[in-house]
Amino acid sequence: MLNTFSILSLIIAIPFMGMLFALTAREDENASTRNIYNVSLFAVIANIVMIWRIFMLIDVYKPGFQLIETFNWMDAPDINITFGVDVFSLLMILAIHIAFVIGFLGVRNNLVRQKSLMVLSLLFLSMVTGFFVAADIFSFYIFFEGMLLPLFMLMGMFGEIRRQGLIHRFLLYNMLGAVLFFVATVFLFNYQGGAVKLDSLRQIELNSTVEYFIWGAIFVSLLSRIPVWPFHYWISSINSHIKNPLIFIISSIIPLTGIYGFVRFLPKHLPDDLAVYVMILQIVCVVTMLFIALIGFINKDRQYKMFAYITIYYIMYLLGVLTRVDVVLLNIAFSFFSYLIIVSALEVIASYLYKQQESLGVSDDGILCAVPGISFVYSFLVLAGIGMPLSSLFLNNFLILSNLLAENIKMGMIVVCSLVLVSATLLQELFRLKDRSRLCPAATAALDLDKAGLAFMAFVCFVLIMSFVKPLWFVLGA
Amino acid sequence: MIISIFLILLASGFLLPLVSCRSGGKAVSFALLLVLLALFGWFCGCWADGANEPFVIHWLRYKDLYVDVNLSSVPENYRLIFPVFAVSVSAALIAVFGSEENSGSRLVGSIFLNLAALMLLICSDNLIQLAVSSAMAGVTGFYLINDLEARSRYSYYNLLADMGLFTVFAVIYGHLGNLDLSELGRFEQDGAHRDLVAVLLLLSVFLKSGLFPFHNQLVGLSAVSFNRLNVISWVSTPLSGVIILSKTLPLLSVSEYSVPMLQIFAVLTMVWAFGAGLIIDNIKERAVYFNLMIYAYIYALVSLNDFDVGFRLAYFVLAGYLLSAVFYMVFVASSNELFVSKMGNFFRSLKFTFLLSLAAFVLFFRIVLSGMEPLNQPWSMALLTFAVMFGAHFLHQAYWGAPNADERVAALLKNPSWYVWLPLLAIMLLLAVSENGWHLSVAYAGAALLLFTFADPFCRLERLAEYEALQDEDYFEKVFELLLLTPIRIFGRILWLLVDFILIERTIINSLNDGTAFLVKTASKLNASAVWSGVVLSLAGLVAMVVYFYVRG
Repeated sequence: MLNTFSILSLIIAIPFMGMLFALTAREDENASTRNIYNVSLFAVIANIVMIWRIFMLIDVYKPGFQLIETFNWMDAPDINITFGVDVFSLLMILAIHIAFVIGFLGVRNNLVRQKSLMVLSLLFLSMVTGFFVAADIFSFYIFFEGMLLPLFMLMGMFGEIRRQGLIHRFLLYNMLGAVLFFVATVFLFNYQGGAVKLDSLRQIELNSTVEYFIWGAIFVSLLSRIPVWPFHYWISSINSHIKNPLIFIISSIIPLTGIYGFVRFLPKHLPDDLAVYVMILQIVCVVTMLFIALIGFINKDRQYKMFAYITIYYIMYLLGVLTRVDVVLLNIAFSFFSYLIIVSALEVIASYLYKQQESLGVSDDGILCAVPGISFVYSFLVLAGIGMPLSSLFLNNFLILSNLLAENIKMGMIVVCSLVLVSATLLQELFRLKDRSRLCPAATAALDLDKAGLAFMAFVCFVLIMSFVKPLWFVLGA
Repeated sequence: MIISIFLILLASGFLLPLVSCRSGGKAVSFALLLVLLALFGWFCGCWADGANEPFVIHWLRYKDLYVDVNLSSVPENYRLIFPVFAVSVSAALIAVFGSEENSGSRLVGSIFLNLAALMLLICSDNLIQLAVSSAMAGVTGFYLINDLEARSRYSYYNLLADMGLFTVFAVIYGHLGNLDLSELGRFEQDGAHRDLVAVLLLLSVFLKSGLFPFHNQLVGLSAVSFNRLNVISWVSTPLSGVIILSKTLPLLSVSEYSVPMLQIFAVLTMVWAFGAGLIIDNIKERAVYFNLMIYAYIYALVSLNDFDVGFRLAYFVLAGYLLSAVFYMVFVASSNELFVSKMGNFFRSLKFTFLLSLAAFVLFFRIVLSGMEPLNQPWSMALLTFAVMFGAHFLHQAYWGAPNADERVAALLKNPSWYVWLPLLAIMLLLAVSENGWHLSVAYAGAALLLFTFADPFCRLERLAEYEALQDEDYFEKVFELLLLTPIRIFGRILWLLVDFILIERTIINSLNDGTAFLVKTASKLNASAVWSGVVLSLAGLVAMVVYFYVRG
């Protein structure tokens, strides 16, 4: 019988232990490298089973953190590390783990620094899991910043061209966020006389002098992770230069941490003084959305198009969070689940096609005609990604949009326009890849995914369809 | 019962890719056809028995959101599902036995899923089910089209339509907090953004049905097989547009723009389809234009609030499919000859086909005339006139005109096989004995058709078949490209250059870099020279003191 007391710590520990194993293994032989990969994959899959078990243990419709675990860290000052989950955070953890498995599929034949890749990825996974199970502000801060270390190293190793400049930029923005967040955390600690629990943070009432500073510092640090203008530039610069699908997936998870921060920190009842700034943020968000959607539409770079898609959805989710309606928050979680899986699978397939194109030395125009299995999966993912009823994006986006439109029709219409543009961008890319008339004869030698790969992708499609039928289909009795 | 058929269709459609293989493709498609026929028989049997079983399943229940799925076996649903089912069976029969398709089983699988989507749409009683089924029909349409160019055009139009509907439904839900279609009346009373809702809804359904000026997507379908074209025209997205509008009729009265908009689009479509249909040489495009005239007429009737969707739409779907088949039969009989200008004098070899075509037209006239009332008389007369002229021009060109067919086509000319005409004959019999009465005016219309067929008043238009500028050029595509896409591209490029490149990269980031470099350089100089740094630091201290005392007053 599993001891539920430590299960949340366990899901942080499993990838960490996998990382330790990978770290101690030798890299010089092929078999060892394969072993590192297999153990890493096993660690992620084992964690998925654990997460599924946690879904069974909690009441998915109950608000607030459950399965609380508290560890005493320091007595003076009295700082505890507290873990807990609700359906939102657990769905995010599950989606990230599935995204990792998909990402692992994309790097299974990688021969460049495979050990480092696995070690740092697992460390990141451990940190990001810790971030989502953190139930007090100190734990939140530790994991919020802790995940940057592996990310920073991954960018440095696999960030491709112009990486020095990009890493400086990455560091600049994130350091700024880290410092602001740290000051706000310490301030709140002193103000409240102890570590603040995350589920009570939204109800906290501060006097007007400090609330400007506290919320301002926290929100700027969270925004530095989200591709909202002008922060979009570093994320787009990084994303458009990453060729490794697993790193791309990892870097795409970073904005999610910012959005999640807003879910936890945005006060339930906004003080009037802050409401003005939220409105300004909404304006910046919709302008950024339209801006990125337009650039994605005209840009020919595949990765930028992908970035545009990712950005538009993240900002839409942020706008949804800013409505502060509980049912919207729940739907954002359901929608995020499919969204992360779709983005990961699209990126893995795109990167596979890129490798095929590179090895054959041809253009990738029409390449999908040569690989019917991938073509079917790619079409499915694009259709699901643009919001057709093939995943939970469809229904949940509907509910998010209905709230946005009800709150402000002009803002809602700009969001809709951006969604249309970015969907057209994805379709544009799909039709370019399927255009038989532009298929180079040499490209017909491109290899389709093997049976295991296709079976896995079919399983991913199945998961998406099931998430449409019932978002929590895998939770028995939900 | 409908739920059982729906689930079987869905399961068969999804399982098809798993069992379909090249070697057994024919056997699989034949088995699927048998399943479809059996389901159709079951459906008709239950309808005849008067089965009436409400079926509502609670799909989603969280917080204050309730979403149901309605698949009730009630007479209204049976009536509208029937023609969709009948057309699907006919198309599946052609797909399995015909030679036009490389992979009949894939088409039959898509037909299964399409039928399931339409069933869901017809039974909808809430906004979510309507949106889901409409988008599902869009997705199955995507897979029904096997030509990239046509598919891409179709996808863009449908994306816009679905997003439009999505927005309309989201606004309504955001305002009413309720998803039931029966609650739309409340929006009529105290709805917000009424004009936006009505206009967006109409534009979306026009996009779905391919009304002028959004007809390009349907005309572009001439690249797919004729059978697929007929399925898409009559039991896919264009029909879903009409059904969606009929389900959301209370929304039309929320804005004063609705009725004029409907009528303007209907007139433009009807006139354009008639004109283009007379000129265009491609037989598939001609069939599309004929279909568009019928859709325009249906929308016009909706604008008059004079259209019993559950009853008359069913007849129009069957009659419309019959008329599409008139073009299809000539196409098949002439060894898939695509251009009408290369036909002529087919009557000798295709007497049976000609008679079937005449019968199809007469039945169509009957359907139009039986619903004619003083209110819709101008529209009905316009449609009849256009249909007579259009049909006569085509029949004359194909059956009576000068023999322009090449030797191969002339030698292989023969009536279509049983799998083409048998289902059509069944549909004709059904329409002939349906409860609508026969009018003398039907005979007049038939006589007019025959008269104009023999003495085609538009025969001079045949020479336009040689003008490439008329036949091949896609002016609407160019207009959309020029007025819509080019400004978006230019605007996007300007933003990219101005904001991303000049403002952020060259101004903000470069300034930060330069500022940091200046600070570093200054600091290193301060360290390097003791005298110079002493002077500078003393000056800085002095300035700080002056500022401090100045601020303190």
